[in-house]
Amino acid sequence: MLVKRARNGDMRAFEELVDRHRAVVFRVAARVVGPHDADDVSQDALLRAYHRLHSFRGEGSFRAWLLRIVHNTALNQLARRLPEPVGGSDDIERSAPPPEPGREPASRLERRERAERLELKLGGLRPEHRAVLVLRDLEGMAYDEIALITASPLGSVKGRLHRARRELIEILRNNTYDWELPHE
Amino acid sequence: MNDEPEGGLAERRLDEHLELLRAAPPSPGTALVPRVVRKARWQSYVRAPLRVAGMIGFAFVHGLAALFGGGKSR
Repeated sequence: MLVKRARNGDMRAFEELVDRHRAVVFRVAARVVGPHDADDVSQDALLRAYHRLHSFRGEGSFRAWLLRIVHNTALNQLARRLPEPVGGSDDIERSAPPPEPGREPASRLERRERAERLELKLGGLRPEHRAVLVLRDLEGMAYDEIALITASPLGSVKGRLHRARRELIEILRNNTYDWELPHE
Repeated sequence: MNDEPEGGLAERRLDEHLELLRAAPPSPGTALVPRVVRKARWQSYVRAPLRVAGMIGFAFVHGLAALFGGGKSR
């Protein structure tokens, strides 16, 4: 088992573990803390995991154990930041990088621009809401795995996810861009 | 990706929008893995001596505190 070997000091085994999980670690970090800090948070979380390998008991998946460290590292990173304007503000809207001009077809350009806007709006969610929404709606993880990662009861995960979706819908509705989200 | 139809039309529409992000996931640079492994290796070398030095320092400070604390109580 790779974890056991890494725990016994086998750096090649650790390297293989990191390589195997780096993509999901980075994706979750980037979606929760944003692209600028994603590299630092990923690195920090992977190093913490290395030093805590002895505490992995194999009760859940290694991925869930690792993502729990990523989740905590990301939320700590956000807590250290200065308060940011909440989603839906024009400041966030203006901070979107302009699409690069070029030969990109208009539809693809528009799609990319919408994705960038949505990414910024996602950043306006409360961190604990954002994390659950990322794990469920972007990573497609099961509720029980998310419960392990966030160290929360299953009911809390479902409740938080529901509130996260409603919060994001409200942020998008208050946006100048029309996301076509009907009121029910 | 979601295995049940959740919420109303707005939530389903939101899920369609989120497909934009699912379709273009951020990916780490190639430098991440070697950098993490290099740092882990380096930290594992210095961790044990630092821990021993820390314990010695703690014992020293604790000893001094006991010495001076004991003197005061008399």
